[in-house]
Amino acid sequence: MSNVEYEKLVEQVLKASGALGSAKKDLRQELENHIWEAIRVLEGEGVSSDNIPTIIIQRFGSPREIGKQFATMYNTIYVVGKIILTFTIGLVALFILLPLEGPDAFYKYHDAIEERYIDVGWYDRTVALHSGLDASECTYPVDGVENVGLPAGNILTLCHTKWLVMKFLPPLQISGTRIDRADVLRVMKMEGGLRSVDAAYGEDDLEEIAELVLEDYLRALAIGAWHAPTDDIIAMNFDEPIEMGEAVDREYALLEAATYWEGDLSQLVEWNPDINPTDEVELLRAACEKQLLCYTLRQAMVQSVSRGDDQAVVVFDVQLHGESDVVNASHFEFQVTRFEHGYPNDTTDDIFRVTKGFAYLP
Amino acid sequence: MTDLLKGTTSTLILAALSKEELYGYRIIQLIKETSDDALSLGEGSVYPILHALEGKGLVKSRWETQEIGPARKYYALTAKGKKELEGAAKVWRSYTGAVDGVLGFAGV
Repeated sequence: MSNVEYEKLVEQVLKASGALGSAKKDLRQELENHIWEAIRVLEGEGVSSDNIPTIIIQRFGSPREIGKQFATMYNTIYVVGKIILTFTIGLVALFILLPLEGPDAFYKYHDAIEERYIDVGWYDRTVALHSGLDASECTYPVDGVENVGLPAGNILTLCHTKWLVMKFLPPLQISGTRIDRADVLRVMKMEGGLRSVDAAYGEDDLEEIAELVLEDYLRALAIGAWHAPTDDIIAMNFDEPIEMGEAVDREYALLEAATYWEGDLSQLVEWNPDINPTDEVELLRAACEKQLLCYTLRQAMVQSVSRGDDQAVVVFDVQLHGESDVVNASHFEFQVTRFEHGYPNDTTDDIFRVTKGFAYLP
Repeated sequence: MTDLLKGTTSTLILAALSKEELYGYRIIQLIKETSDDALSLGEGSVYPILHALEGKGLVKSRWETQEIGPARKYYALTAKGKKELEGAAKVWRSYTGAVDGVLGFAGV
């Protein structure tokens, strides 16, 4: 490979490819081998040594164009740009699709990709991820979405998630552990339930409400414990305590409440007879105005998990805090039953049935 | 012929690897030989395609040093690649069969 022209050809390909490190070294070696083989064959055919470089360079094609084709695989800037583009598309799709589809977006069946990645996350980011998936599937081959877009999206999602299921899973085991969409839906429903319960009850019912909300949380935690890689005791200390009394966005809470209770406003009226049900929207709005709950779930600990092939019993030790003190501490026991025929069924209960065993004070 | 080749180069490369593992330059030669010189690929363009196929898990590679000259990178078809090749061949035969049908109708 002493010929300057050959070296120039290889360098042009490498430069345009943006390959670095071992990828660059391998590519250089492969191209040098190509030239060496070509020289050998042409010499065997009796081609004059003066003509060989011209023939090889002509047959090789444009080194810049070929290098650019490698760039889609090796150029870091290109790959990062692709990730950014994927999620820009996702976010744009979010703002277009969310008002149109709302919670229905979660019920769409995607494909095996969704099974392979955990997308439990904060509501809007999960929609973004799903929408991004839709949009980027149109833009890139599925392989590309899997290899580039989704892992990055999951990192973004996981960075922001505060949901409990994730607390069970060591980061290194995340990609190898399947969490059914049933879990996602249950968590989403929990949030809706939390807000609607928040909206519907009066101050006098705080303890009862806390227990109901907790129960809903713990049902999801029990499913999370099902997926936990070991039977170790798992503690969850919440960096961001779960506020049970915050209606973050009232319009959003209205939507959630309506979705969660499927418009069964009579139930809300039954619970809070002070509200005048003259108008459905006004009814919900009035309920949200009360913002009654003030409890915060500070800590939950899986006290024990006993698992069979298709059933598990999970016992939780939880602490509720008021503004300053622990106001309640209880054990909760749940039995989780798994049904194999679940996915891609949309109904959560087809996959897991969670039965509350008992709750007791320690 | 050039237009027809667009999009089928990957299939040709997979087909070339169907019997044994080969290095880049040998793949180019084999395609040329088995097509009676009708299919002559831009030689450099084979390599990005090979790398992309490897990225998709359709081929796998290994290096082999030589007594003389730079090491060769051998490519071999994977099970996934074999399946892909069978699918692509089916599509291609369906396409050429359809064209034959129309040409047959024209009597040419």
